[in-house]
Amino acid sequence: MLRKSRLKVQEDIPDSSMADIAFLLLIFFMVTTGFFNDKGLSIMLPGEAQGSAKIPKQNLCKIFINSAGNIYVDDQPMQEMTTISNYVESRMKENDKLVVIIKTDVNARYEWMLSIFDEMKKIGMKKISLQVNKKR
Amino acid sequence: MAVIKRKKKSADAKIPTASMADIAFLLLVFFMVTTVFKVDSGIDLQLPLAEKVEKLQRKNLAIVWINDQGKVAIEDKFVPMEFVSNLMDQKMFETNGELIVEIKADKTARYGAVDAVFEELKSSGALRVVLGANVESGGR
Repeated sequence: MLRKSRLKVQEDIPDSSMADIAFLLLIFFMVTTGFFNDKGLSIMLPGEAQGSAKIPKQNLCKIFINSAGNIYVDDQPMQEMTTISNYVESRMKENDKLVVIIKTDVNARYEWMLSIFDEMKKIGMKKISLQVNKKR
Repeated sequence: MAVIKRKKKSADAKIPTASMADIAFLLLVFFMVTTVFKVDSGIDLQLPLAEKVEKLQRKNLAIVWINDQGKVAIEDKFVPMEFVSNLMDQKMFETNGELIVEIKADKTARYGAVDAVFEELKSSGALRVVLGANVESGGR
């Protein structure tokens, strides 16, 4: 009699805390997950070999940024980004071989150069040359 | 009447929790699969703003951080400028030459620091570069 009743005892794996364990792990992974969301402007640096190609002067558009943040486009001072992009765009329409040179002073802010670069990308200019003014 | 009412009260309403664990595990598996632990948490800086940005792929990517003082950090360590090309040579080797370098520079950094990094990258042949930028203000 006793034996029989013993056999009837059901053996269960306790699973009532399963959900708690799963949620704990879930919260851990939710907190540690950092979705990769980097954005940027891509450029291709020139290799060591090239870079000596001569470009005729009429195909050049020179943008100079000095250390005070003044911007000169073809030696004319320009302040507004829209004026610069309009000017370059009009020159680009006249001449499809146009190359833009962005010459930045070493002490200029990176932000200024990037905003010009962004403007050039916006108007679809692909031939951009980055130069630096090392003279003090 | 009274009897019926009593019966209704005693019938307890339970939320079925049997599938709770399954739901939790499903979400858990999703987060486990999508989680990529950050190796490079970076340094504190403010990226410049730009509009015409592209989304970056994580594959074959190396990030060079430049803070507002012009100091360079790679994988959470500040490195002298002369060592950048050595590190990039190594990365180029690891990625079979398909390295993409992201330059995350503070917006107030001197352009000279960014240019020096360009020179280092050129000497190690890492020519595919992305200048990290934010679309709107705030964040890293």
